[in-house]
Amino acid sequence: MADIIPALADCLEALNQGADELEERLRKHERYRQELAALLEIVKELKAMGQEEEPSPSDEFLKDLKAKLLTELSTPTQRGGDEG
Amino acid sequence: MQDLRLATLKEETLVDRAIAGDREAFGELYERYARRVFRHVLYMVNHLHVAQDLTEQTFLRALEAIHRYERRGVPFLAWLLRIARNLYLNDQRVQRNNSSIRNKWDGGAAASPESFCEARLDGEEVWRAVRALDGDQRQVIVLRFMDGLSYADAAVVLGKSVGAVRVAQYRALRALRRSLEDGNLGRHYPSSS
Repeated sequence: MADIIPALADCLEALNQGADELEERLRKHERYRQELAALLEIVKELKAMGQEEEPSPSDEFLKDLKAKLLTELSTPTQRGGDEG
Repeated sequence: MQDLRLATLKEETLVDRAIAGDREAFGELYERYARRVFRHVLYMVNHLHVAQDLTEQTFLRALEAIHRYERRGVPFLAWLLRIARNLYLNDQRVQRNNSSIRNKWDGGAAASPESFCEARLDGEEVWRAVRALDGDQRQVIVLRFMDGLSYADAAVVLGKSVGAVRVAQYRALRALRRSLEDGNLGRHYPSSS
């Protein structure tokens, strides 16, 4: 398993560099080609889903939350909470 | 409304101003990242009202802790998503301690991740497979391929090393492949060799 992890990272890097570059990387990792090609197909679908504008919050929700945050900023309070 | 002058400023400048108490600068950071935080959380919880609540809590925590941000040396979005992750994990713990199961869409007519994904070829089955992953694997997939974060930024969010993120990414993709091949209509990824 250890060898395929850097091979996958290498191919993912080539995913946006065109089919020729990707084919070159797959040739470089010929031993794992079949598995890498399958995983890259899934990645393409996930990236396509991530590119869509939806799902998105409603404008009303965004506007109300912004108003709440800006009100918080205007109110002098003891700040110093942590990141969770 | 978004201030066009602020919209052209670099993130570091906005953060510096927000730390100094500039409301408009924090507002601009919010404008830049609120949708992305919401989407990330929604992909994780699949529940509109919980996603809204966690998005709100994320920005309120950010407001409280922003004075500590500059020492982190990481993109603001990664820092926000780390806060969101901690809140998500807390929420999961609370849910585990409650008997109620909260895994169905409650957003009425609003588009759920599933209904949105159904509009894409194969999107629904891919999304179902993502939802079936365990929390950490699902988050790696969402961070890397749907949010588009680098390994380094995903590592910040997850509190792991870059190497650990690469391993988790591979395992999550392998689990997705298995799920799609075994569980969904005999889907098969042809060999390109």
